[in-house]
Amino acid sequence: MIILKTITKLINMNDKKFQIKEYLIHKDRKFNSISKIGKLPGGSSNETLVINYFDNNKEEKIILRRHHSGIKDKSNLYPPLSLSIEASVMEIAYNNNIPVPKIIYKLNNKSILGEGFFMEFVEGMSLGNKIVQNTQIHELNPSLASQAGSILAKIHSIPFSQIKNLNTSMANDELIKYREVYKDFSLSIPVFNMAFKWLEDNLPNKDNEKSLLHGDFRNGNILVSPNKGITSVLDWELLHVGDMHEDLAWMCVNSWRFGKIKLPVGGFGKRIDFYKSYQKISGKTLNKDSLKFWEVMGSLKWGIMCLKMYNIYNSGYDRSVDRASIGRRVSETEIDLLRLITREQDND
Amino acid sequence: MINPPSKEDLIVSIIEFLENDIIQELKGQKRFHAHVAKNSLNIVLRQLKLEEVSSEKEKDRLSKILKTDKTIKEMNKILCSKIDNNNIDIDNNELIDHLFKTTMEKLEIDQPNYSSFLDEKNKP
Repeated sequence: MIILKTITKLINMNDKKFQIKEYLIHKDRKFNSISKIGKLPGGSSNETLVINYFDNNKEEKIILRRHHSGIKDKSNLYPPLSLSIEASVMEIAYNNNIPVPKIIYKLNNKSILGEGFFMEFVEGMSLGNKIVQNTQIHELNPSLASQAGSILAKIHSIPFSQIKNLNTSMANDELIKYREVYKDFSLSIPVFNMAFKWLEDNLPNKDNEKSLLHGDFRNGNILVSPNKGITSVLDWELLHVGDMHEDLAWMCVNSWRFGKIKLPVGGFGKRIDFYKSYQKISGKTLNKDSLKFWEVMGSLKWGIMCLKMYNIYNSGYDRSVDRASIGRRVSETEIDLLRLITREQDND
Repeated sequence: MINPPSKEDLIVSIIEFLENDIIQELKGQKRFHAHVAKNSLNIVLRQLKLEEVSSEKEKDRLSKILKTDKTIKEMNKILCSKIDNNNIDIDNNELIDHLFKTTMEKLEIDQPNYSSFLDEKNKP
């Protein structure tokens, strides 16, 4: 009865706890009490909650990932993947020995709780700036960059023809998509127009092989343990079929180096380690021009995402201070674009 | 004439209030938002100090490149459509020089601690 009382009390507090009740009933676990529910930062259309609970007096944690407030964001121009596909791909990844949290329970589509799933809690640092400042990670063998390269190679080798409803987006599709978004803002940012022009002139070969991409593989979306390295790859909501170079370049975009500009791979490693281990595991050869195309595309994409986030403030949907000020981070991507386009690439 | 304090002084007083009395009292997301609020006020402060001069310079460069004299907004719009329609080459040195200068002037206001800004500024 204690359990029921606790749960009822929590349900009354807010909707978040309501979902957990469904899970508890379904799995019939012996919870004595839920001690804490916290929300993890990040995630534009999905939210990630950490639930602390006591199981026979031992405190445990579980993760719940679901659409914001359980409702799909219909206003999103390019809605991300359904959470059930995200969960299925994570399960395939888990079975292929890719470090990813184990899916514990998938919420039913028709559930009043909305779409989502529960997964195991994995320990590790997730904040990009904390990772690049940790001195221990530089001693790792294999290095963090090598680990990232082999993990990415494994992700890209997942056979995707059996997975239904995946989006395919190659270089030209991405370019058209982001041009449209930029056009909608009716802004005049000459560096962006220049970057679009450069990208059009430097499109990679249309025949670049199609792979299953993570879509957001960067420092900030990986969990890192200072003694083991990458313990988990998170935030699979942008996964799609595309050019392998897209994922490889996104990790090197300066915005994810957290100030460590001389370490192009996520602010923690060198390109050579990253590319070498990727090529060794995948057996594929990387194209330097394609990598540069996608790094420029990546910087431009982040700049446009900043504009989009500012627009959420401007539209009145979310009037928070950080949504407002993010518009002033667009100039960061402008300098990165100029340096990338007009200068030789850094060779570190 | 408006009486003192100046608009800059008023902003500084809010920054100091956030720094000395507010941020330490807050936790979690509110603390993060208070930090962001302080940063936003610092952006405004830098803009008040620098924008007039940098806009003047940007305007001069634009009218030289475009050989016309209009508002800065209109000229940026013209420049964008020239780039889109191949009426100006994106390898053009004068254009690249202008875009670098303009972007650095923007970052001096927006994010003077950004890694690429600092790296670019310290270039020999």
